[in-house]
Amino acid sequence: MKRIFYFITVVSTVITAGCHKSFLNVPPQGQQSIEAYYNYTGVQNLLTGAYHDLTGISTNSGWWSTSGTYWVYGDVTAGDAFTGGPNTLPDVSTIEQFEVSPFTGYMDDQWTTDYDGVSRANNTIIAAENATDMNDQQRTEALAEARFLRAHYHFNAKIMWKNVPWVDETVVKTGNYSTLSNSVDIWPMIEADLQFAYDSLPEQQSQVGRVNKWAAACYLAKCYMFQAKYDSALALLNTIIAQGKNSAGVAYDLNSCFHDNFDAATENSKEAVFQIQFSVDDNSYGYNSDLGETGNVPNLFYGPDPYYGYWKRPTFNLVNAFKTDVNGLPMMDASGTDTSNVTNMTNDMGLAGSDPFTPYAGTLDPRLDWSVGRRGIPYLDWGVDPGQDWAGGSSGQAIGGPYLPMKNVYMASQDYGIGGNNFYAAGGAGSSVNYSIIRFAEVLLWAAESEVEIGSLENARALVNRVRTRAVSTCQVMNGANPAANYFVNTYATTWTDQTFARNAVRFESRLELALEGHRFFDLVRWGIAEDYMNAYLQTEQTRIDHLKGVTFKAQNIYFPIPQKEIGLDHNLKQNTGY
Amino acid sequence: MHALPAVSTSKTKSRIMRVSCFLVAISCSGLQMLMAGSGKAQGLNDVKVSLELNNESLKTAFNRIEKQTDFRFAYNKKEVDNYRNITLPKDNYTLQNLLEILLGNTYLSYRLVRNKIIIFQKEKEVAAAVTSQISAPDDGSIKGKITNEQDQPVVGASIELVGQNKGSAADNLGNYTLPGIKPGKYTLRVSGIGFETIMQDITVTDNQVLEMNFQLKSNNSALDQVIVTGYSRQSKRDVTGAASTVSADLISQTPVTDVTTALQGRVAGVSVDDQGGPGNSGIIRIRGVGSLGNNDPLYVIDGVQVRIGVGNSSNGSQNIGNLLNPNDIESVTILKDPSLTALYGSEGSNGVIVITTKSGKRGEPQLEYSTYIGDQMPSKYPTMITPQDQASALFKSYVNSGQSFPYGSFYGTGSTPVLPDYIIEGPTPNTGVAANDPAANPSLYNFDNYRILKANKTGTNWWKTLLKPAFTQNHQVAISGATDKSNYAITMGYLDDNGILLNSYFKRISLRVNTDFKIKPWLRIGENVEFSYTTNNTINTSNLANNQNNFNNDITNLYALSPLLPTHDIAGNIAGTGGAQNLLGGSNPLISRTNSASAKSYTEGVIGSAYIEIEPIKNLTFQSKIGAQFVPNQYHSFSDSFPQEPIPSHLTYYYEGNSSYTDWRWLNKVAYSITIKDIHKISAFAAYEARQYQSRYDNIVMTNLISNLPNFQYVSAGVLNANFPPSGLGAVQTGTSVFGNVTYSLMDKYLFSGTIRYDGSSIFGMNYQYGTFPALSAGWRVSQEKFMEPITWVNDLKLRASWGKAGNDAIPQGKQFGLITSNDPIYGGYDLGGTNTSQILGAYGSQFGNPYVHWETNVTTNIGADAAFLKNRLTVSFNWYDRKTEGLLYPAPEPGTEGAGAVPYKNIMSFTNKGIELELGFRGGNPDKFGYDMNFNISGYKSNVDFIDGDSATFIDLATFAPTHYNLTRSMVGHPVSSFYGFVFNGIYQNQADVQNSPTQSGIPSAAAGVGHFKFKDLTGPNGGKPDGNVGPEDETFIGNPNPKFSFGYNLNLYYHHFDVGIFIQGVYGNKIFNYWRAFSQWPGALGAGSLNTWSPQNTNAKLPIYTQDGVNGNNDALPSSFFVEDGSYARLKTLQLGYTFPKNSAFKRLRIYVQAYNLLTLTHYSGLDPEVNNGNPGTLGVDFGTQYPSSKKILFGLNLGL
Repeated sequence: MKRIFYFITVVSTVITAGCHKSFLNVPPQGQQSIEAYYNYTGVQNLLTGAYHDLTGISTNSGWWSTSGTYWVYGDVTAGDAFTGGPNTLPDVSTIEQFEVSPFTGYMDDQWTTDYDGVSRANNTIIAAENATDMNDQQRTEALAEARFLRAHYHFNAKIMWKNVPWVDETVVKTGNYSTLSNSVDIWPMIEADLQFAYDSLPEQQSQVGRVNKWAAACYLAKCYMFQAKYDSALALLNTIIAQGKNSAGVAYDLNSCFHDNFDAATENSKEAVFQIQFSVDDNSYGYNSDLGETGNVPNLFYGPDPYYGYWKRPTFNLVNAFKTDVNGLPMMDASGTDTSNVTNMTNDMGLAGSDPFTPYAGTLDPRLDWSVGRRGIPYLDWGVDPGQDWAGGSSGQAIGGPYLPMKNVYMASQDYGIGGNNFYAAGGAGSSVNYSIIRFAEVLLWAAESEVEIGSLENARALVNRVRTRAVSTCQVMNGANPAANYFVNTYATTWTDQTFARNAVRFESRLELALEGHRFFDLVRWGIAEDYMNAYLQTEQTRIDHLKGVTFKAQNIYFPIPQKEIGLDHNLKQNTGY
Repeated sequence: MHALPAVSTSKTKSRIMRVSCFLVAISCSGLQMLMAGSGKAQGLNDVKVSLELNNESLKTAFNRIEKQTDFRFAYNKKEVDNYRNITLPKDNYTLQNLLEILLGNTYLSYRLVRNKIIIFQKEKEVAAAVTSQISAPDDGSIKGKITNEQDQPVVGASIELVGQNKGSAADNLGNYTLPGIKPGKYTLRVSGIGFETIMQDITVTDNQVLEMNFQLKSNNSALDQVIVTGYSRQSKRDVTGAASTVSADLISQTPVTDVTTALQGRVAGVSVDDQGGPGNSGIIRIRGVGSLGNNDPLYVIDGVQVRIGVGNSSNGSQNIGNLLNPNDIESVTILKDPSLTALYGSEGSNGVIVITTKSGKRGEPQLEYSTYIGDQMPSKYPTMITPQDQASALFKSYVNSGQSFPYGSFYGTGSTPVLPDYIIEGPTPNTGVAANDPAANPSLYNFDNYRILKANKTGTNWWKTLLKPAFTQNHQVAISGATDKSNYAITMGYLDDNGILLNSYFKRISLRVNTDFKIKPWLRIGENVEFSYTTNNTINTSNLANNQNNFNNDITNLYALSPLLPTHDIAGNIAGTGGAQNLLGGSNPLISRTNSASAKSYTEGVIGSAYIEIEPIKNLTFQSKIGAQFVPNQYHSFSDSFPQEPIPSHLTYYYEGNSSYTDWRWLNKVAYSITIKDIHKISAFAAYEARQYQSRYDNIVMTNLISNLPNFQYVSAGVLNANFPPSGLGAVQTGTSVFGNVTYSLMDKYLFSGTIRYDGSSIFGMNYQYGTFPALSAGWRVSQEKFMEPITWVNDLKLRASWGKAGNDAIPQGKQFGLITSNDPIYGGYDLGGTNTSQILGAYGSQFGNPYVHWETNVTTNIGADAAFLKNRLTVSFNWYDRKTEGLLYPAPEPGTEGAGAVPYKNIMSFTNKGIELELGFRGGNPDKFGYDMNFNISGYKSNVDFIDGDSATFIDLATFAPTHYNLTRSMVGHPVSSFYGFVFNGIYQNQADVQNSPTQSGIPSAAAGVGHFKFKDLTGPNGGKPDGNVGPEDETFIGNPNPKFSFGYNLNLYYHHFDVGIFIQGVYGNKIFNYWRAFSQWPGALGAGSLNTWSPQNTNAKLPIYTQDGVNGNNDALPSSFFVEDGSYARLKTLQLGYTFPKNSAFKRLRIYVQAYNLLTLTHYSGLDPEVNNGNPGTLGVDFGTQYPSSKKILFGLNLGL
């Protein structure tokens, strides 16, 4: 009997001891849920994370596919850059050759990364709304920054695909991602977010990397431009030009030296409206650097590497555009038609480094040699471009042409890299040179464009001339004590009377000023000229570079295909026409 | 101890006899059961007597016993003197046993009163009855009962007098009679299907009724196997579910380093894919893929559950080979059926592998030594392309594309490529130069920036350079024994398994101690523990799907490297390939394998359990058991300053990673069993279990080590590099279960079993943690019925049916939560201050949670039969099952609009595997002269997706074909899980007219469908409907089923005198393999073996398309298509072995030597290296990534010695 008693005691103790329900409630290990962020510090933490996606590098991203500088979708597609043949980055080649399909992997990378930025902004908004220790001003400013960023990420998606869904914090709360529709135009929502940011943000920020009131205004103006709402745009742009300041509180103006916009030492200048703050050697493995431009550098950075250095190569067509006429103006005929491409500028295509070569002696816009590397001209402070060696040898040059990109490349004197050759640091891969999503020169050109369309052609000429004046007086690339080339550029001295000419002049100017900054393709599309322009370009350019043979731009290519994977996951998404 | 010469002269045995026989039987079988036995018998059984009788009288025997013990005999001298003298070999006998032997040939019996043993004559009528059975007055007879280890009759067991043409078989009660035996010496042979044969010398005297009882020890493949479920033991005869057992004998026939590979082909319904490579466990699947997550079965090692990969945040250390030395295994039982697996509820849904390790056997201590040594060698070397062929093919690909050949600096600028004599590797692209070129002057050699390589124009065979025969050895020492109150087994093993790939190996030292103690009649305690220490170095085979298309795997490099590259440069340094842009892809695996020599991985596995069991009242037991695993792993590697790079960075790296996995579980169980009137047998138990898995890891990288020497490979000898921040995380998972089981047997004919289990798991959201998992089964032993009695050729027949539900929670922990990763420097930080060189850390949503995620369940119906025919020589077991997986857990892709975090697990899909399994065993011949036995099993199943959650997707794509980003496998309603998906290959375009008359190919990556390229079938239009004349994404379809139609195994053992031969063949039929690697090994960019048969106008029957430089995106040849799908059937001679057992000798109990070949021969049409391609990922079933460790053949010599 005694034994039975013991037995029952032991059994019942054992069973009840293990039955605590909390035994099964194991919290996540080493990570937290969003509720832990409902406070000022948490909101700032999330907001910083939302800014991070400007770099284009989120957890599901590729480097090039989601580059924050948009060179794949904005330059390679626009007749401004070649890419290095099919064996290096196949998807970029697919995009360059306008064979992009809903299955092209880059499409879903970019889609997901854009919406990851949206999701981070939304998380910030939810945390800010629920934070208990924030005052009204803090909350409003956090909401405004987050909504600015949310608008930016949606904007990116909008101009890529046109028909995209809007995701705000209410979607996050319901979790209904699989039934979102892309048939509603999201311009009004983007504008509402930017308007809120414009109304709520301060003029000056404690940290220059944060967006301010005027950045929001500029972005709002950009939205108007993309919708051809020239009247709204012009009014806002005039206010910006008169009163706008950068986040450090300095009034917007053009830098005296054009290259200051592409120099890590002079970033966040008075010309900076909205920049991606790239950084290196910051314990981020390079993930805060400009990874999306990795490899878009001369081959000297990598030595004889078969992969790097081929991907983003300026086209002959683009370089030709920097030729100037006897008046120091872009080469256009009376109607404003571009004639610069009729004869190809002297170049070292097919020449070995040991073959003799004399650079082009004609007059050139000095912005060329701050935008493009070419043989015989100093390439930043890396030395004089030796030609084929930096272009990947004979094969690299044959594939990608003789020119090198420059605007995203840091200077040798700014090589912060550990050991001088560390992949993750500045030296070699990601650069810390900021990329301007919007800079003031572009704002001026939007104003000029709006004046051409609905205002005064003369006002437009003045605005274009303001941009050109800086080109006239800018510091130039020097070879010793002398300018490295025959630079000659001037302002439009004659009155503009023909709207077509004026329109073309503004567009030409924006190509020269903003060359290889990822905007061109989207501008061609919003101007409605992409198909004609690109097919004309291809016709000539395919005689110069092999891999463009047989390539044509098709009507559907003005927008990218919505990734098939997303349509599979959300049946309410409709594919764009033609895909 | 096989024969049990129990003695009785009466049908109505005394109670003493019954009890003692029973006890002996129990001890022999090793049954862990308590018995409150009779005090008298107990005493006799405890006393040991050492005795040898040499034709001596009973009286003498009694006297000598009295000298050794306190017992005194009382007998009637007259009665005792009637009997003949006795001869008895010298041995230690228990007194009880001895009395049974001594009195066995008599009409005498005994009774114990205090310390007196009273010998008396049995009742006359009993004696008369016995006498009447004797056929002739002068002849003796032999009778008795043949039982199995559970003391149950072995119906149909045969008993014969060797060479006398006299034999009989046991009846339904196991009784036999051999009448009319003339006095003399004979050898008795007792055999039964599925049992080890007993040979026993006997002497029959005049008129003697010799009663000989035998207990047969079961071997494999029989109905009388004991099914050990970990919670209970049952004879297979009584089991109403589907289970199969593999014995240690069969496991030891396969020279493998872990249990998974030993099971390959042994059991119907169990598939194993050998992963090759030292220390890599095979991929084991029971009844096919049942989940898209973890499909590994539950292992139960001596009652301790081991779940591979569950609750573990760091892969790799928890490997069954790291925990268990296969030589320690006594038997493996595979539970396939819900009525059996339901006992394990949440953990048993993928089937259960119950492993019993060796325990001590009653008798003197035994010492056994076994070993094998031998060599293994690659089973296949692919043929390499020659350097000239490779250069020509590359050259031609440019010609075909109308492009100029860009490698002039290497192969010359002529109209055909010319192989250089020397390769110059430096900071500029490599160049090839002729021997007389000044650039090849050895004095220019500079390791840092000017290396000179002598081109290998005859071709470097990378396979033969890296894969070489390797020595393997295995040693095992076991000491075991048992007494009435305790048993013990101690085994020590040492394995040194060198892989065929340079510097790969697996070494294991293991020590196992199993003990049991019977402290009191009502109290037992016991433990078993295995400690193993393993070190290994192999290629990383985990997560292959993630790096499938990179040349970062030692094996893929073997395919990819140019044969023109020599292994070493002219200075003797390993040839670099970092700048080998003119030599296509790949990097010299000698570099990584050489670096790998300093990579060490150590795992110390401790797995064990301890229990206490009390029996407070008769038939009621309470058991409390704690099982635990502790598996720490240390990994460190050192990388020299990248000597292969053209510009060395001079940065050395030292990596150190530590991980540990701990698991404990506590089981408390109450069991009760009762037999009512010998008709109703009921047993039941109820149990409660709590368990926790915990793992953690940390990694650190140090750079710039003080020295490259091994004694400086410590964290302190290097510098922490900010670019390699330390990392570490862990996982915790808990579970609780309440469960119970009732079995009921009516007249041994009608069998019923029911189980219910209520499980809780921390894996799921708060409101979805619990699940109830019931199971029911019934069996009908038809052969027990009266109407079966005339059908003598059927010895046993049982029909059974079962139904049950099991749960699966094998997904990573913490997935129910939406998570934010904070202060993350990589994906969360941003340089808000505009500093260029610093950042502010930020947070981001890294995981989407799903609080609604709940149990994945498996509902299985099983109908089966077990039967034995022809005197039990033929056994048959059959199962039909329908296994439905519901609420399948899968990290389903989320719309990108949700962001880029890790996707949550959802209960997304249902699918069914329906299958049949057949196992046959046959034993024949005469073991003394020529005997044989064979086992054959065959099984097949069909997989079909029934339902996919429409909210998420109508299909699930599980793998991507890297060249074109097209999906490769798809699970969709109406098709097998993870079927191959792609275009239907329709030949090669032969000419322009062919192109024009065929459907166009726009909308898939390239519109450039051209002559020499692939043609696909136009199956449908963009929105379904009729073919539209264009091949687009809509024309993808299901192009192959990776599941085999059937799998089989055949084992044949032949015995001739002392020789034995074993043959084991295993294979699968009717499955398809997607030869993924072909797209990389046979296309330009990585020209591998067998890649020359390309299309050209002169070679229109080519297997491969025209080579062009359009690249994989420029043409559609590299789309997933039926071109890559091949028949994966194979049959493999897995083992072939020849053994010789020496005749018994005073020096040893057993000595056997053997020679064995493993993986000797494979028949297959598959063109890849090896048809066993599955790497365990259910999404890439049947996809050959070309990254697996190559399979090897082994030739071994072995020896088993028992002392």
